[in-house]
Amino acid sequence: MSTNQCDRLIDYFNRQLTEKEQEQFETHLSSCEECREELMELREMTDDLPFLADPVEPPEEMKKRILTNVLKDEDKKDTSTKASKENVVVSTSRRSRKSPFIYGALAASLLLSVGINGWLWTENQQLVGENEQISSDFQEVAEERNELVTELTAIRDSIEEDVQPGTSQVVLTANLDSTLGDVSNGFATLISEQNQVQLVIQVAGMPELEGTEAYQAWIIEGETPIPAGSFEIDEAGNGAVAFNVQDIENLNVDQIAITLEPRPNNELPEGEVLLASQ
Amino acid sequence: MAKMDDKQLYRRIQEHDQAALETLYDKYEKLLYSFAYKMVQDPQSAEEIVQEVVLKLWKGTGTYDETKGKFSSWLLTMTRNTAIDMIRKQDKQEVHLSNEWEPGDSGPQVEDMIEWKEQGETLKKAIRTLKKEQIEIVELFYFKGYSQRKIAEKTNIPLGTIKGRIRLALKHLRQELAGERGTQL
Ligand SMILES: [Zn+2]
Repeated sequence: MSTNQCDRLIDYFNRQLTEKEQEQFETHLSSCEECREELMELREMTDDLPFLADPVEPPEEMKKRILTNVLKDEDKKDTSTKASKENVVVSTSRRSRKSPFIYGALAASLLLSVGINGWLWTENQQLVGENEQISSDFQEVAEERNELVTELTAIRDSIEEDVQPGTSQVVLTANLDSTLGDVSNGFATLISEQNQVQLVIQVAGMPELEGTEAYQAWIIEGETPIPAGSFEIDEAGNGAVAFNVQDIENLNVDQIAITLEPRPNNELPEGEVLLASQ
Repeated sequence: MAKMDDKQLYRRIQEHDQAALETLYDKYEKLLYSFAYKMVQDPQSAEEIVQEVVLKLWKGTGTYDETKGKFSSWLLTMTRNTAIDMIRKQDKQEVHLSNEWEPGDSGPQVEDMIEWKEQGETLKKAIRTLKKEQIEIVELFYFKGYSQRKIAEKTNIPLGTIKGRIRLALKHLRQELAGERGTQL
């Protein structure tokens, strides 16, 4: 009994065919224009039907469970199968500061100054080498992070105490969050003092610097990054910088970001953003 | 501040950027979950489906091709396929025909998904103009993903005419939608 392949369109669309039947139908598709058109038509006509679903609140903690499961699976793969093809393109470690994450407004200038392809190429080269050491324990990182947050809060409180009322005034404060989701963390304060405005930035848990590398703070105004001081970190990964902000009247601070630069005091960012305010 | 669009986020996810995965997750969590829930009618299975989709996204199973339409359509198709596979696996006996076409039951507001809200309202208006049998056939075909044979059994419609009925129902829906959207202008 010969099956009319054209009758299988619906079952193909709904994944009801066996693997073999599916192959047969796909062969048929390549020679049957009518089926191709009907299939395309089905896809077009159903494209927006998912929006018929009424909004349902996902269960509590679903996000945490799913992301943990998905990323845990990744970690397992990292350690068990080295050097598979897939692994070459792996991965941001939470500790790796080489992750190709470009944050918000800096993206344009970064792309201009480096060029995405060359950049990714070196990325992959490094990742192959780094791959083995990057399977860090999520739990451990989370704990470390909590400690740092506590530390940071203490530092922040102490700054606020130092500021004497009447002479200085906190204009703006912002948490600087890691763009990699790792332990690094920071806090930015804009302090106005006798017509002088200072940007004070403190960071903790930053990755070690190499060679001439330096961290640099940026005030982002619209699409424009304005350099706000370079700094280094101590052995524990802590650092700070105070920067006198000129012309504050005409400045709109949209974001504050920390990049890793190949050298101190760059005029334009070349490295990736590691910390940024929301 | 400039936000990355879906395509940029997708590319970052291919480079295994966890922050990008999280951003995309936040954006689509509720839509994917609600869609999966509509298909399987069970919170746990719906969560499993969303997890499966996120895993596929992260592992790069199946590739999104920008030339073949919107990223969200691709993601939703992947969700539907995953749900169909689960429905087959569980092989539920009873069809749970949800009575969801009633107005005023749109649940909580969806801030980020304006498209969802707008499209959903228009679609619901349009689908309510279809005959009951046509609504049922759209439900069984699209949201249950049943085989022709099973749809025929459930509806007592001859097997050979199922494809025609499905296309007819969908075409009516399209015509209504064209009318709806026309009058909105
Ligand atoms: Zn055909």
